[in-house]
Amino acid sequence: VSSDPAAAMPRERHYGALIVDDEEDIRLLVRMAIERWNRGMAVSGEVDHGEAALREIERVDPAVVVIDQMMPDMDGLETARRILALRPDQVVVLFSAFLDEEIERVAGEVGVARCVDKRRLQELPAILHDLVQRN
Amino acid sequence: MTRLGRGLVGRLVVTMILVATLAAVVGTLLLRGAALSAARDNALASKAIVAQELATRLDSRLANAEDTLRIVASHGQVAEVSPAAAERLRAILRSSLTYDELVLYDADGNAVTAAANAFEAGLVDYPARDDIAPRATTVGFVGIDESFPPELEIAVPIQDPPGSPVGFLLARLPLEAIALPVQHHDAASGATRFLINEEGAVLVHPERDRMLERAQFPVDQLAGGSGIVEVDGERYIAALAPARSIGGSVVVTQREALALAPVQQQMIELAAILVAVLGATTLAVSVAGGRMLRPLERLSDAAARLAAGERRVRVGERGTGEVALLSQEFDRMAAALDQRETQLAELQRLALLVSASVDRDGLADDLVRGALTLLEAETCVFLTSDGEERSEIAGLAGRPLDGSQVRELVEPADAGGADAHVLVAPVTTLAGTSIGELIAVRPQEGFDDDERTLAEAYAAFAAVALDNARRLQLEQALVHELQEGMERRRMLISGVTHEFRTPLTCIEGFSSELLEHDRDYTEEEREGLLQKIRAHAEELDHLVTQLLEFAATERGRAAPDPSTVRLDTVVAQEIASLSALLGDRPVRVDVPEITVVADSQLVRRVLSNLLSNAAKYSPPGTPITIRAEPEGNSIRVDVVDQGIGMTPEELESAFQPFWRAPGVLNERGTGLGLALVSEYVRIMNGTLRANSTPGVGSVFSFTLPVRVRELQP
Repeated sequence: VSSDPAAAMPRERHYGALIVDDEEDIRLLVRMAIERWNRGMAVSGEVDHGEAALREIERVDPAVVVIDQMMPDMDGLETARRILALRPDQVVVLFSAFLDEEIERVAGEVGVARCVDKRRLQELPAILHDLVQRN
Repeated sequence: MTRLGRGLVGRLVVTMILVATLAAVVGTLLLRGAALSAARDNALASKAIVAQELATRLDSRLANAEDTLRIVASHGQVAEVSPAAAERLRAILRSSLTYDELVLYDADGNAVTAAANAFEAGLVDYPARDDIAPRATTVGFVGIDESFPPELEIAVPIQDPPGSPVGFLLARLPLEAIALPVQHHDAASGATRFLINEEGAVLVHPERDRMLERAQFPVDQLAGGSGIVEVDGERYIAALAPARSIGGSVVVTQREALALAPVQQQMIELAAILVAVLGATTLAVSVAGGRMLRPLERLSDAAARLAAGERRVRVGERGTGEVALLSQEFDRMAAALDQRETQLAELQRLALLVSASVDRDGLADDLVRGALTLLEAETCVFLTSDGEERSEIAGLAGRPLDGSQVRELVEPADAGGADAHVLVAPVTTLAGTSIGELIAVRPQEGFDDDERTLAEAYAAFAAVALDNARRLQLEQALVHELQEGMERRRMLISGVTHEFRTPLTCIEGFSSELLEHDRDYTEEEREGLLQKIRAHAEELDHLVTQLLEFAATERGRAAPDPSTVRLDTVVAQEIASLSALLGDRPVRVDVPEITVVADSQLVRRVLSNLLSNAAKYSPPGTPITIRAEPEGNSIRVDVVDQGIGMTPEELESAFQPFWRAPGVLNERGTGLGLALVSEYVRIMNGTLRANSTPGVGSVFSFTLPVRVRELQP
């Protein structure tokens, strides 16, 4: 899809989210959900792997980072760990198809603000908003 | 000095001091008594002599005075008893120092004339003297109660003719004039001479000037003429001799303390000498005793330290004396104790090792090092044995030996009696399984039975230790394997979940979008979203198919359905159907127009899996090559990528179901692809090979049997 389906929507851009996922279609769905939700939050960047996220985050300075767990080379938790090492106050959300106690435990140690199952795509914008407001 | 030394020398010295002191005291007392007694007797004897001599002298002096008076009385007017004799008397007084007064009496006792030294004598001063019989010389004291010292009166008869008394001449003189020799006092010796009358009243005394009243001498205390008298608490040695002419006695006294003082002094000196000798002796005994006892002390000290648990205690006494020999015996005993303690400590250390050690290789080294110390050997070897065959040297300490030397030691060429210089202790578990042998070599000195027993005990410990270490290793391996299995299972669930969740999420998301916001999209955009939905549905289908296929192979699939297959056509079809997955990776195809006899579906599945694998593990843009060439009676197909590659270990596991390369654990996939490929190739009677280099890429090759006539139509 070349055009942005949400581009025509009226919106206030108060803060941005960085989306990190190797699946292009998942990134598109997250973007659509966030922009459709439209409460002053916008997608300020998209990358498809962890290294790129580390580069992009400095440029776009997002309020929140949404990271997929299952990615080649560098997984979501490792990406989150490196981001938080650079930016300790960054709000990071792990958006994963598979969550278990082990992943939740490591995420807590790393400093991830929340783990969200991919089934809850529609709730994701509200969760992100809530976390950013609280922070 | 130790307790023992102090005790011995101390007791000796104390005993000596006691005995010597007792001897000195008793001896001194006895000696003193004898000496004092003798000195007292001597003093008494000498006093008696002196007193006697003085008494004789007094008698003699009085006799002289009487003679002189008789001569005066026999001449001239004195003899005539005439008052005119006064002049004569005065002349005599002037020339004589003895007399104080001279008085001439007639036969009736009336004074006729008189002369005195001290005053102008008149007759009125001399009353009649009827107490004096004018026939014999009389001597008497005048005013003995009034004056002190008393005066002496001597009266000599005047007879004319002889036998007819006509009067008498009386002379008064101070008693001292006669008793002068008696008046003697020596302050230094405390000796005094004086004169007493018969009642004991002191008549003349050298210290009369200091005497205020007449003193009384206790004559009754001197029954035998000499002895000890006690006056005012002071003891005196005293002797008495009567001077009969005077009617008194000469007394010679000396204060006993002073008389005996020299003896006392001598006694003190003697005692001092005794004390000095005693002191010197004590010192000598103490020093000599200490020196003699020093080796004994060292021995006693060493024994005490040994008893207190100290190690390496030695007396180190050389020489051949009894104590030295005893010390040397002690040293030998202590050395033996040391050795036994060292051995026990080593055994104990090993027992600790048994409970603590987990590293079997390190344990073997510890064991031989321990044995080397324990047995004081030159070399210790631990040989492991697996059943019949002697195997390797697991541990070696001390001088190095090579394998053949060890074998020689264990099996001596002559096979005669055991070599005393080599000790072989079998290391056998409690269950009786032989683990190996512990060998100790000591060329300079053979091993004794005690050491062999010790080595066996040590070997028993070693066996337990090694057995424990082996069990622990097995347990750890098992635990590790279980953990790995659990982790693999978790990764599988995680991977499969992800595989299904992603297309499902996409299908759900895009379809919701189209249903709810249909009007927000152009026709073209709607078409795009629908295409996505279909692609994800196909992906799901592929996944389900793969899983079902795998389940089928697990159950034991039915035989393949062979047919003639154009390999180049199948390859082209498969590349076309995977175009979405392959993306921009260029695919080079080098497959001849060739026909094989195989199950076409299986060949497609094999190609599909190998190609999607290659795409999955290589970066976008890198080429993938498919080539085929004959190999014997088969044709070999290679799928070559320039992806991340695999290590040899990873390659070994790559065909296991659900296995996924560690570096790409989060890559999408079930881990079933290669397992299925392997299975499909196997049932088509082909072979599967893989070559891979990390960072360079992988080559997967499979062969398919070829019918020759169909190769060359």
